[in-house]
Amino acid sequence: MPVSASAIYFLNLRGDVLINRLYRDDVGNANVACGFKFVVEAVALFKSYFGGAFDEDAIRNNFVLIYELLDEIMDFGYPQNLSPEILKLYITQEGVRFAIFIKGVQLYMMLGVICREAHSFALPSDKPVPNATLQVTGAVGWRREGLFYKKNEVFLDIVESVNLLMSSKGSVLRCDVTGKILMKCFLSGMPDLKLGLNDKIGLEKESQIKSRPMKSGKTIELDDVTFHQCVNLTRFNSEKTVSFVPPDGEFELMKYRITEGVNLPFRVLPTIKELGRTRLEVNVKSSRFQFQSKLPRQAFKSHQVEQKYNAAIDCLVWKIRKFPGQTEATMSAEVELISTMAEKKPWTRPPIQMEFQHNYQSTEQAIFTQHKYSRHNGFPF
Amino acid sequence: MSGHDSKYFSTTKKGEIPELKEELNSQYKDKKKDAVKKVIAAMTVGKDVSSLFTDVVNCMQTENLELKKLVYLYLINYAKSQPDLAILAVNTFVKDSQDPNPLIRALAVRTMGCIRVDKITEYLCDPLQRCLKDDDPYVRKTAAICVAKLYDINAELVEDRGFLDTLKDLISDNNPMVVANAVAALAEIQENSTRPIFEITSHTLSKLLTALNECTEWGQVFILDALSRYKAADAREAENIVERVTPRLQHANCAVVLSAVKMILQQMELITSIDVVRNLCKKMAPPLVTLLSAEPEIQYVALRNINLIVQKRPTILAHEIKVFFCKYNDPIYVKMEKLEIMIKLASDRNVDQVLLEFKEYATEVDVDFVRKAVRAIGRCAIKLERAAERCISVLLELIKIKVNYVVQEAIIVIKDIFRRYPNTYESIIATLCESLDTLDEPEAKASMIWIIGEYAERIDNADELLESFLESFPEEPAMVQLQLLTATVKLFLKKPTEGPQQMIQVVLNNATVETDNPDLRDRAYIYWRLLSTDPEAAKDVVLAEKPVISDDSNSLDPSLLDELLANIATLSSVYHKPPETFVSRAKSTSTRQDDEEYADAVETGYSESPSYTVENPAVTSTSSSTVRQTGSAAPASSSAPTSPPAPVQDLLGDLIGLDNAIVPVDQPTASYGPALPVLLPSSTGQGLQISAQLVRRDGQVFYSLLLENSSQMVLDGFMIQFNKNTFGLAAAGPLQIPTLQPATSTRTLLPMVLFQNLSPGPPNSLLQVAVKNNQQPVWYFNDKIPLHIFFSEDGRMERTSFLETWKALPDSNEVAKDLLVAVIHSIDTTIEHLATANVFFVAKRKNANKDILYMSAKGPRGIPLLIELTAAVGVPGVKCAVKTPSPELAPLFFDAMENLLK
Amino acid sequence: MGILFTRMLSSVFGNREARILVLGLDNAGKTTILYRLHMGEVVSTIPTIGFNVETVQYNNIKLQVWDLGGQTSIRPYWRCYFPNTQAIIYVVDSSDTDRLVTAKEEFHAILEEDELKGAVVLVYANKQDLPGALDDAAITEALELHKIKNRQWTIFKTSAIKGEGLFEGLDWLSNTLKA
Repeated sequence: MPVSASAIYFLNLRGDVLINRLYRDDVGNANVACGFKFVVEAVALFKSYFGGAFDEDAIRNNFVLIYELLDEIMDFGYPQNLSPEILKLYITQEGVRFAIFIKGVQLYMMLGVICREAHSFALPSDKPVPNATLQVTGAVGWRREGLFYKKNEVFLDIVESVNLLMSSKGSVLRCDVTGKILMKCFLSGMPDLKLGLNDKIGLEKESQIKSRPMKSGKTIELDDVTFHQCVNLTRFNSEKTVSFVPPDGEFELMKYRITEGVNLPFRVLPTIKELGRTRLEVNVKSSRFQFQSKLPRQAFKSHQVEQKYNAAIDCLVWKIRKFPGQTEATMSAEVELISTMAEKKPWTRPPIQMEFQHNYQSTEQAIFTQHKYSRHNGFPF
Repeated sequence: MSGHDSKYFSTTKKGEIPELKEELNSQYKDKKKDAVKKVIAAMTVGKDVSSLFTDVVNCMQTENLELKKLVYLYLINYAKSQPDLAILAVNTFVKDSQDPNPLIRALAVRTMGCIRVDKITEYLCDPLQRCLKDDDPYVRKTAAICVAKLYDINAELVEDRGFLDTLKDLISDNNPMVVANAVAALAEIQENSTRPIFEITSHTLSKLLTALNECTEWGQVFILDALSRYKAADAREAENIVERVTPRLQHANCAVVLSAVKMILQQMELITSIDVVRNLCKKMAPPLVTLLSAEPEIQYVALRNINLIVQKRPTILAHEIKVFFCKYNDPIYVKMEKLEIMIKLASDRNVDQVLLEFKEYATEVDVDFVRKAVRAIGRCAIKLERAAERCISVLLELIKIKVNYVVQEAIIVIKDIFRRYPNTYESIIATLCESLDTLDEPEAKASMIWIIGEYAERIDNADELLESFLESFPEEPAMVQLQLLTATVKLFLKKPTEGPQQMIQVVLNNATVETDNPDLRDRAYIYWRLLSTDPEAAKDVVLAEKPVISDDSNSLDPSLLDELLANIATLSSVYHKPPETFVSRAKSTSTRQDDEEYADAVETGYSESPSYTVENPAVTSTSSSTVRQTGSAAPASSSAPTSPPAPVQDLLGDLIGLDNAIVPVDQPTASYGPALPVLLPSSTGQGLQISAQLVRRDGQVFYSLLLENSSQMVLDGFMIQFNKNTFGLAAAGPLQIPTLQPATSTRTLLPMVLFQNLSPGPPNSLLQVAVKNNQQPVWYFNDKIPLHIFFSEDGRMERTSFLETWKALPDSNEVAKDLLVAVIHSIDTTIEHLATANVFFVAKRKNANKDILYMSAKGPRGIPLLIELTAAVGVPGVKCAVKTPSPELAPLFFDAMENLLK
Repeated sequence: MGILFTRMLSSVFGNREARILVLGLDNAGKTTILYRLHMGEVVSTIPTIGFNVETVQYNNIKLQVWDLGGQTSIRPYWRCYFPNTQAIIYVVDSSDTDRLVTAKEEFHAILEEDELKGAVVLVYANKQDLPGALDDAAITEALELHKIKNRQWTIFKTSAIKGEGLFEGLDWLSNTLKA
């Protein structure tokens, strides 16, 4: 039974119930995958309504709106339309603000971010749109009709996170890349978009299983791709083109995973010595990136100028503005720990986190060849 | 206005309620609206504002949609506490359900369905009827769900008002969201009903698969979940279905992916082509791996499901073990599940890498995780013989780190390794003994003592070691005391010298006179008696060779696994328990009595399903009990038997029930009466003989089976499948047959359902059955469907209605036949006998020397059968005439009557 | 001009608000009367399970008119609406002679209510268009209106379908309430 919830509760960190909505009695063998996904999507929806914040204050200040949304997005335990774009057509409240949110998933390393351009959104009007109900239930339940932009623009961002495990000697033990293609669309009407994947992309098809071509260095093997609900999956399966009617504004078009043939742009060699109970010596040799290294909780002070200790996140942060190729940078720091009477807890050796921007990176460049955009009914392009 | 609602939470001083009451009755709209918001705020923080019921309801007729929604919300919360006053809201609801604005129409039916108060429900039907046929899809999709709500409140009302048919019509709606909600509603209603309501035919299946493309992500989940109940007719259809579902694996919504996986796995059961199966396994792997980059909660759900999937199809993720390696920032519950899967995927090929990981985990800081990692190394050793040595050396390395809990955990698993590979790795005992002093946990202590006792002859100072434990004997936990007792006895039997002799005196004294623990005392007395009467016998008993263990501590019974796989993505798949064990919701007791009885049987699941195990499977394993045994024990004891069983049966059930929870408490006694016809002789079945027959018990059709194993093999993993047939008979659940040892037999009653896979063409009685097990090829045999098993208990007709029905049917609907073999010896006994087969006496008359009996029966789908029997008592040959709306059933009917009158 | 100011002015010019209950047995024509007054037309109605409420502006008086369902099951809840009521319009189906006794009993029970002590009473002898309908005098007799003490009351012959007599009644009501 795809019922996913009998009730939704909003709790604060103390565990007090702030708001709840009961939908039905006990649901028995509920679909929990559906339930968790619903909660994730609902949080995104509320954030989109409240301008990014989703805390106790935001909940108290919008309880009427929340009740209204809860009534709309789930019926008798069955998730209904949760698309902010469509809901805003008929559940309108003052003070609605838009904000772009990119969830701060903990990434080990971020690769390549392009085309970051700020853009203001057109706020929907307060009047409910007459054919809202048709749009909620329509086949394109994520885009409203009648959008118009003077300038039609599409932006693509690729955010990749590389999960890397290196041995102390610097050899790569494990490495995989999770990439997201974020799209920002400001297009009029109901555009049909097509995105072609490069021939170099190997998606394992049945025929290839046995006779997989030898890795020629240029081929990029995508282990898996998943798509936003706007993408026609059946067509992707047959034609290998990504065709879709995009939601308005920003959304995550697709996700992919690569485990083979990942070239690393950087090499990081940390050495950390524990000097007695209260001192740590940190040396990092590396190449342009932002660098964070989690330190034991007791750390409070660091020397050296290039890097700073950020107490809020218990991290040593090292910023490098530019990092030309074939060069090396070194950071060394000494950390004094508050001496405690209690027995020292073993250090958990957390990973080093790097973040950087790169305007030209081989992976993403290889992904797209064509980028088609067809228009519908006479909107100026 | 919104954004500043928190002001409504501020509490006014005294007299809040009267103040609100006044404001609610204000003439000014803004004040009114603010007052309602304050009421809702008070409700939100848990204050009782039910006394304002009429005042709030009086605000209901408003143009302001926001205000209206708030009043509706209030009603949902408080109508139950003011059931009488709720009637005041009816008029407004009914009006709103006809409002020109579709949002309001939908809001009205949606809300009415949420109010479980008779007075509201009574008036829901008319608006619902209208809204189901509304022009606006938004209203229709809301009304579709509302039917499920109404069914939950009052199932009869739904059936009487014909909502089910209207709902079924919505499956063909042109709007995908309406279709999806209608499917969800129907699937739920079906789940709560015992009658076939929502039958998925191949036609609906195909239509719904097409609708998948247009549906919202949630709609896709509804449809996939509903379709996963569908059983494809053959491998080709299954392949077809799978092909159309596979693209869903690429969806970004994890629920869509898991529901698609569920459906594919179900259909794969039928697919015979190895290539196709291999291909599907290849296709499913990447999406499953991708789920591991979702939010941690979703990862957890995915991991619990993957745990099941790899047990069924280990190949799917055989090459993906790396993705289950724990990440630094994984929450602990995700790490624990990953470990479990790593053990399942560990193989000779990857074990080195896996051990490296486990070793790493064993040096982390979370104690539970470290312990599990150590245990995992031990389980790898037990699972992979060739890697056992490497596992042990890793364990020894870990012991050397001298972290207390690591050492203790390592010793526990090493004990298991010794039991798995006796006389292989004893050389490490010396190393273990070095850590003796650090042991402070009972299980670790007990394990170490077991090792010392078991290998006393190889440990030079075994007596000293044990002696050091003896001092604290009275303070030790029972687990350690028992091991100390046994180990000391072993030591004494192996080294009957002076030291051990003294020790045994101390121990026996401690374990008999000084203790209150009956287990310990009993065991001590047994040893004592053995030692004092016949030390040689004591040796045979105490030092007997122990059976080798295997690692099955975390794998599930195959039939349970299949059930859980059919529940992928649900709570059941996360708990690893069948739904019946934690779902207590009663099925709707439909009007028909036979349904009710069946409902009882189904609801409590396993323990009640009338499968019956005669033999008692002998089990040697380390697992103490499977999930199912613990899970289903409770409902078995609490359920009331549907028919009073014979006392002997009850006793038998209780006795066997101790060991085997799948034995039902109430056995339909009569089913084991007559011998069953042999359908698969043992000569054909390589030693497996199957006798079977369809029977009707308590209003339900069962397939009564007797399986006899005269082969030399242990047979297990029995499954049964029925081919398409005239009445669509199919198994209602998996075949519950335990492992069948050579020269044993087992009987079972398999509940059947009707109208599943209907075969086209004129009715015939052929039933083709396939039975398979893990050891033999698939066996096929034919059986006959006797029509009378469908005759329902409510087939009795009054004279008048018999006459009316008879007259209403055209003469062409009457068929007659002379049953030559049949004979009526006595009118009364015949009437009585036929009544047991649900053929009921209506009237009789005499014509010359012949008696004419009029009888009635109700066939499948409630088809009435009007019967006229003409015969001379005692003379063979009965003329049988039948009049029915379905005369095509006549040949089968005559066969049945001939059988009954033999 | 602020809202407050508007209100003050309107009270100076006698634009007042009054809360009025329309009561009577089921099928007396209450809902039809309400919508005839509110919209000036005849709407098709169904038995009112609950209530209807509309605002009727008449002769400078804003009348908030509550039409309550007349079925036996709903009558007990009439009392929820009694507080702050200035006037009652009691509607009688003049052709339903069988139930006149019940109509009378309900009517006098209402008049007993403390919360309605100050309310004036307007009786509509409705359905005059039907053959066999009793006239106002006969209804006055049947309802024993002459027993009313300490309260202003009157009776009008009406036909909600034809729209006759309703506004005459409202004239009386508005004048009485203004006084």
